Amino acid sequence: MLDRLRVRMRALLRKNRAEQDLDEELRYHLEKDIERNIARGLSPEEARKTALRGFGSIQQIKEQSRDAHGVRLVEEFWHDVRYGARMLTREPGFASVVVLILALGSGANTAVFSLVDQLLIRPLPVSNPDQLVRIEADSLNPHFRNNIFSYPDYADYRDLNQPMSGLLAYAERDGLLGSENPQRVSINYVSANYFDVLGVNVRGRGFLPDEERPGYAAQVAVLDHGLWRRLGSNPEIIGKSILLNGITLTVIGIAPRGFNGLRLERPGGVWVPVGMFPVLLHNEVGQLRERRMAWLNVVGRIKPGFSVMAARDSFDATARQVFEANTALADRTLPFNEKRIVLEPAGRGSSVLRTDLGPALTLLMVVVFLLLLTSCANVAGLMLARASAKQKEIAVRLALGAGRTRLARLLLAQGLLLSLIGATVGLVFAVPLRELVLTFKPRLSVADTPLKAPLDGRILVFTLVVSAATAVLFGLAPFLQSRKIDVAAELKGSAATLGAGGRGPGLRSILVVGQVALAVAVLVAAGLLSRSLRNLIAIDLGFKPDNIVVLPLELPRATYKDNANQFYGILKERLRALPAVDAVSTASIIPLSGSVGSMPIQIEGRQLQQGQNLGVDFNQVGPGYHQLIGIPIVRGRGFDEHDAAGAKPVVIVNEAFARSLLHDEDPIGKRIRQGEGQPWLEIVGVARDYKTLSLTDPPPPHLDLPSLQHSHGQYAYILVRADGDAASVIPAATEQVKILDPAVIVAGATTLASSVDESLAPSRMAAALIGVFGVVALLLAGVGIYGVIAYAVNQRTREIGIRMALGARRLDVLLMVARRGGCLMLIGLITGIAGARASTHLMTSLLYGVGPGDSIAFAAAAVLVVTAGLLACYLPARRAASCDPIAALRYE
Amino acid sequence: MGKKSKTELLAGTLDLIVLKMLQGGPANGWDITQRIQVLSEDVLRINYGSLYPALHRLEARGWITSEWGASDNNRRAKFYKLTAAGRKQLEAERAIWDRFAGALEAILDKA
Repeated sequence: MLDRLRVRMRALLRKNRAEQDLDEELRYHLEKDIERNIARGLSPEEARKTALRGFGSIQQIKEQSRDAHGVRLVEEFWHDVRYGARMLTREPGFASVVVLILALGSGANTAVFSLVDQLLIRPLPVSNPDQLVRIEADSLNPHFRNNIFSYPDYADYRDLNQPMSGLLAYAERDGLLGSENPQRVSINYVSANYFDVLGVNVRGRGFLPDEERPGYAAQVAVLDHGLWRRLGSNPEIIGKSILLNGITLTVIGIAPRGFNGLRLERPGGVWVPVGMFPVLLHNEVGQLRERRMAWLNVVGRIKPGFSVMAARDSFDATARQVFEANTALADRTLPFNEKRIVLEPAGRGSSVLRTDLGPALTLLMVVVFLLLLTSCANVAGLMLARASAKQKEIAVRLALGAGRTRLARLLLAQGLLLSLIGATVGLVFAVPLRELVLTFKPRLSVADTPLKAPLDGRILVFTLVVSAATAVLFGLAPFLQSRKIDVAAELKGSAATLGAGGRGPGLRSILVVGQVALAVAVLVAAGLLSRSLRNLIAIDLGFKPDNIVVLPLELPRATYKDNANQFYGILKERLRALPAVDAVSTASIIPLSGSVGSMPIQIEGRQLQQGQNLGVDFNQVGPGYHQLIGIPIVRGRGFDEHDAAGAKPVVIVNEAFARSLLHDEDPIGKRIRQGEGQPWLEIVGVARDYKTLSLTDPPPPHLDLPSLQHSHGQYAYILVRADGDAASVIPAATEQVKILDPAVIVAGATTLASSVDESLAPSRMAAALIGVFGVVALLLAGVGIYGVIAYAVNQRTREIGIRMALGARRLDVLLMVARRGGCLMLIGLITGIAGARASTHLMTSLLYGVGPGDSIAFAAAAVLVVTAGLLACYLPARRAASCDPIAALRYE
Repeated sequence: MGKKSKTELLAGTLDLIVLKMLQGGPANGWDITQRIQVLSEDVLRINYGSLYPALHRLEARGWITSEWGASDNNRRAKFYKLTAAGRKQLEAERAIWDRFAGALEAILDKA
């Protein structure tokens, strides 16, 4: 037994040695044969020839001898791969088509899976993430769920609760790091036990319990690994100080790489104790002591042995106890105070994208998976068509004794080779594809978060497994086909005519119909979305975004608590002095940026019923704003420098305001106010309606307040209209801000046109994504039809030859061959259109100005599919029609 | 060469023959072919293409071992030798063969 093992091992490990042995052994045998032949009187030359003839194929003997030692499996596989590679380089067209198809399939899968993995599967890099739960509170009113708590509530929960081994709290806010050219960073205000509860090992140290105490305000900070690297990767930074929101903090630790807090889309930035909240935000210290100020997220780690239900009940009792003990009867009002504790799994962190994109992502995963399956079906079809061309060769190999499993392995090796190349190419465009999906939330910054991370080992393993599975799928199909090869018939040349006729529709035909139907449906969807996109682009905005630069400014809170307007005033003067600058103004919000302010108003002389509330959208805008962005003032006047503090309080309303709230009475001179005791504001102008929040809805009632009377405060947009190209003004304008105060942040200067364009990003993404998949599906369907026809042509070469010899015209042959493909295409087309008809109403909410049954989209999809289908039929049909009858017959 | 009728080997008998040939002592591949040819009076000709795979197969099963040795003219040749397990295997196969041959003969005689 041991001996046998040793021989095998030796054979495997010292393959070369064994090879040499075998060579030498056979050489000896040959020499002896030659000697014998010479001894029998043959000439040396003849003796050699006779001996060699008797010897047969040395290669084969060697192969079979090796087989005895079990070396063959490994070696033959390698041989197969090399053989496969050789065959592929001999057919670069075929190889590149297959690789492209597989690359599309696997690239799309990789991209979507990497998002699914990040958002839906992967746990946070903390210890035992499955024990973590987020504490939320359901109100008795079913519409409210509260996920934030006050600091005193948190502290009580932490000290009283039984089921949690640890309870942490955190709040996220943005802040400014540094003094000169400060950078915007995320600040996490966390309880002192934050890192301990999560089980995250901080280099240096985490926070001490004392550092959390309200009023103590320990000025210490832990840095995110990414931020630490941006600051120069200096380990000596521990113990040094940094400037955050103008306050000096001592760095005490660096968080490990890959950990960036509990929200996926937010970079870690800086962690500081909760006690620093009022200090860094220049707020009242009361925030931490106030039980009615809910601002903290609370996450707990359930003790082993507690079920989530038991933990919930126990925690609920604690929360109730705290509520009863601390809330005066007068404060116990709905909706938020009557609450039941709910525990949500927190091991994967929280994510806006997961909420918004999760269901769509799952659907997308299914779609791309189907796409991969159809691409496998296609490649299998292509391999089949090609294998059938080589059927004779395969039959010869079988006759010569090649084992059928050996043949299967050869096909499998080829499949593996192709799918690996395909997957590698697919990886190249998996990353851009993922970016495309992420543009769904264009304003969400994912820089420095795992969502921006390069594809890692997990994803590569996924891709590898997928491509291996595809290789098996499409490698196996031709093998199954090869089992049907009748060696004798094939060699006699009679099999060729038998193959094509008799059988039923066959799996391949059904697959092709399915592919065509899928292509039609996806193309209809793409057509609807792109027509909708065209309509969106054509919408009249009501303002002219061209040639306008937008500088979003963020003033440091400490310096500009009350005098922000002064800064804006000086800056505007400086910007006006720049060459190529036409006009300058300011606004708190720019149109179509995704947000708008809302405030309650009262109209003079109008009685509201009890409890009724008039809420309207509003914006604060500088002098000349309306003129600058091209909103006509249809009555009255726009704002100018005289509408300043101390002057008569004024306001400009839009037409919708005048129409729906003033019932078309002359608005000029009417007065409104925010509430009792607030000053009356006189309407001095009516602006033409323009799009503010929604691109598609008609503009709601809106009012503009003069910024000189209602300051922008810390945040404002500077609007600069340029004489020519707006983008070229950005550097000079940004420089002016920096000259004036380097501590002011210009957060992403852009042009108004491109900012408006960004609001189209979700529509554009949907149209692009579905369009890409539509084209892919079309390609696949075309290749599928091509495969079927090419296969049929191959099978019927002899028949075609006979027909042509008997006088069939080229056109007849062309039609005969194309008929089958045409039929499949037609059935697919009808199925696809019916399917699309039945399901496009589901996307009504994604469409603007286009009905889900839009005939142009349907017609365009049909034309595309028919064109592609005809082309796919024509190519092999032409080959059939141009075949030389004599050659076709003799070939057999 | 005369077109003397050559007999195909029955499946499985090559192993038996090779083991038997080695019963007399170590031999190399060429020796074995020659001996079979002589002993069978030229009826059986071993295809080299079967012999070497068979030798290696038997070796892998542990029934024979091989080592390099000197042949005539001091040329290196690989010699095969029966192992103890091989001896047992030879006996077993011999017994099977005898039963089979006896049965076959009985059928052919009686029918």
